Amino acid sequence: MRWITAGGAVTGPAHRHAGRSCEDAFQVIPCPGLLMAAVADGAGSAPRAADGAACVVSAACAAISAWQATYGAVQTVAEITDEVAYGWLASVRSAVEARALADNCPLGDLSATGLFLVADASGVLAIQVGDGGIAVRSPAGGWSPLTWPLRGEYANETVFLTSDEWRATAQVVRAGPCAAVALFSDGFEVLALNYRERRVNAHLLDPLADYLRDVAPGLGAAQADLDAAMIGYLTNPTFDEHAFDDRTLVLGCFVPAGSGA
Amino acid sequence: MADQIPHLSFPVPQPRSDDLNATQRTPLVLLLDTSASMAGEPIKELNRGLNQLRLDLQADPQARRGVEIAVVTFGGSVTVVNDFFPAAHFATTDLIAAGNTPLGGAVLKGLDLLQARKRQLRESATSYTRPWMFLITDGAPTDEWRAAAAKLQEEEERKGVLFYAVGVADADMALLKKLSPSSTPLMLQGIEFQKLFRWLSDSMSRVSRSRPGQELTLAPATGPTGWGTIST
Repeated sequence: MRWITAGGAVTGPAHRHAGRSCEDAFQVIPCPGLLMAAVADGAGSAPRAADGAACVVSAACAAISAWQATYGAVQTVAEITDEVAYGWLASVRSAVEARALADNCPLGDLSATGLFLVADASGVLAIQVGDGGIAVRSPAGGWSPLTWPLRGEYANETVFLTSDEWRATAQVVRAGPCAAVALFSDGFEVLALNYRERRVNAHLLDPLADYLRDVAPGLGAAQADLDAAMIGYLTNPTFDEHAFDDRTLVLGCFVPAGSGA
Repeated sequence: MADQIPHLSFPVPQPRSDDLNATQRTPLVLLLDTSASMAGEPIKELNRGLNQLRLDLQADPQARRGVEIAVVTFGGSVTVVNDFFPAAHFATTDLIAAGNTPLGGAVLKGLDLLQARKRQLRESATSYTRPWMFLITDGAPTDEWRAAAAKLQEEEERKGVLFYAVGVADADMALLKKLSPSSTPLMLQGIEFQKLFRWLSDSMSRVSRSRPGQELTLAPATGPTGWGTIST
């Protein structure tokens, strides 16, 4: 089995109107049988939100890659302990602190959320600080939220990796083997989650995951083509009426190793 | 086969109505002095200003869905004129000036309305921004106001509400300061209610667009483009 992924980050209408560029970032590390992905959303009020988001994803990928290099051959995702997961978060926080120190700027200038995921045939581990969400599709079909966006009382409040409460509010959640995963920032969260019923909008994600699993491999697409198609999807203007923030979505499907390119 | 770019296009289904989340709400409570001293030009201008607020909010596609307005008047008695109508359906009726100034009762009523509305919004998993409470008066309270001041301050301390007080003409500015020591009451320039309500609708439009972690910048309320002055 292997993971096929498509990821994209696009500027939301709120930032387009304000003349700002996309302040989300994401990174996916392909590895045989193992998926490692990170998404971050730079805080709207932070002067260097985009740098903060980029720093979070690169530090997360470095931490997870280091684990993979050391334990990849002997440890499965299901065996990753909480201690290891919180260790990754702590190293991301340290990386952002180091960046603030090196650039001589307040830590808050680099405020960003963080959503990290590792998945293999044994299961999924999702880690999240702040808003956005991580959802999984079971092998039998059907999506469920692994994490849920963290909000304060008010819609315009959340926690960032730079906040004092990052550790107390971090979500570290596990699931068994799954057929597909989705990580998204708040700009896509509003479309992908139903807050009232606390569920994932399968009507939106099912056709996407089916296409990635069944159609895309047959087209012999390179990773860059898949990511470009995801950017095309996320920029669809029909989303603009309901979703105003920068939109990031990383979608991964677990497919037989021989399928596609 | 080389260099052939595969055409990939992810399907975009039409959003289903049960999948859509409720629009983020921005509650606004207006506490308006309609006591006898407001009679004449002030109440006329206040009514015109309210109508301006309605027109401006309804012209903004996001504010008309997100901003919801409660109007409480205090003139002789405390009256709830509107109980959180979305701006799109907000209708104004001409307010009439009469009676004394039960300002304390109006503040308590406004806070009660807010508590009830927040509960409803939470129960329906509708997200909302921090409510605004906007008090406009030209006099001094004729009822017991200390309990209202204490409750308001408690609410402000726990960031339950953002309170703004505006004095008109002979308003007791020292008392407005006592009502909410953490905010600075502003004196309306003359009877520039239209300017004041234009600023308020512009501020509400900005708040209704605010997102996590975003710092809000409002247009200046004082100075050459503003409507108010800081009373010294």
